[in-house]
Amino acid sequence: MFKSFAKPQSSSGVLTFIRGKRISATNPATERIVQQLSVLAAGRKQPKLLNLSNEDIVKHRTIMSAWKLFTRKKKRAEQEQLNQQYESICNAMNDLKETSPALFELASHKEKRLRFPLEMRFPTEYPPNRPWVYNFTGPVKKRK
Amino acid sequence: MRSVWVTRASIARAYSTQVQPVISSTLLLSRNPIITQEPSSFEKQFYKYQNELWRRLMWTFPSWFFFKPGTVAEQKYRKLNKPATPDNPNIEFPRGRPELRHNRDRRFKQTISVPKSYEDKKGETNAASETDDLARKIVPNSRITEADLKKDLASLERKLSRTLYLIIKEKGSNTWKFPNFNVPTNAEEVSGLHVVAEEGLYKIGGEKINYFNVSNTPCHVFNNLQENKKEYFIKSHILSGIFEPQESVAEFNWLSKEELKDVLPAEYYQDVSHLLNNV
Repeated sequence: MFKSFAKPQSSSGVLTFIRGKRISATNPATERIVQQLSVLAAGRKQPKLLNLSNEDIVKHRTIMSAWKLFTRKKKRAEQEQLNQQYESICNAMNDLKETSPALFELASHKEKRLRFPLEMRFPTEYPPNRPWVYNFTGPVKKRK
Repeated sequence: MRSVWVTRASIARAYSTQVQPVISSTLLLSRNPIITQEPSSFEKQFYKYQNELWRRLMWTFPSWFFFKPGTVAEQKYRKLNKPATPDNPNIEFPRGRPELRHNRDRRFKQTISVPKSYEDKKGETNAASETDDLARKIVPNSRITEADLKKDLASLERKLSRTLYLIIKEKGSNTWKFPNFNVPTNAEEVSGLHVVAEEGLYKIGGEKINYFNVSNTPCHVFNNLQENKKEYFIKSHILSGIFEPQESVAEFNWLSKEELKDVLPAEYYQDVSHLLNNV
């Protein structure tokens, strides 16, 4: 595609033409680089500019602002729930302090060796072949 | 956080009753989603719109690089992707003249079909070759499981895209509730709320449960005035294993937030709804 047609060669001073034979203008290594660059370069590969009509622009803006509103509402609801959860933790701990100081001490004690479990899965687009692992034999040792 | 607790002590005092209430710990055992959230219809439409825009603005596929000219692969590719109609000055194009560059009409998105890496075996269903063959067609597992079709509420494989919570019905009782365990009062050594919840879980569900306790700290307190009980909530995740109901449990279910709303008493649900995951 990027090879040029043969140019008259004049190695020994005599021009030699070979009908229909393609000879690259450069050596193969350079040619390969040219081809690789042609993949990355924009030349002749760019699509036509999007030229939206006034109506389409209005439509596009409406869609984008609807999306913004949607995400904002979602985030706000999430944040509100988090605030409520934090409030209820504080409330529970205050209550516990009143009712049972001993339990409060145990509840506010942080476990140092507690690690995040490796078995916990990140959600995927499609389920694994066995969605749930049932053959858990039992605890190795009880946590204290 | 400690300072916040101190400042709110006076508010908490309002709950205290004349008779010393029973302290108990309630276990919020959840099964986290295994597959991604189901997008809403608006999200689906928006993603489709964005995808179409993205495809329209994409550069032309450099097929000469991926399918070397003169190879069999290129022949197959050319067979699948017929060249677009070229611009002919003698022909009238009522919907605009085509602008071909590298065999692509610049005005539209480019759709490419790639040769299949597998053979279409119609009618031939060989179970052994289907699972072992590396060149087989990749078919993802269904997002709807058997448990969903059977409407088996006690299965851990139902509603894979949602967080499910364990609720039980005790023997002799007619109401659903989260598993609740009283903190022993006459024990020599005081055990924390989370320990009570963990030991209680083994008592009601057997020991074949792999769980992860989120924290020692209770996440909520519910004042059960009818039974003069204070229920502290402990959050935990089930990771693997099976819940085998023991003698004290009549029934158990794994339900999502919406389903819990129908099943739990209204006042109780109202009080704990913010602890439950919407996803």
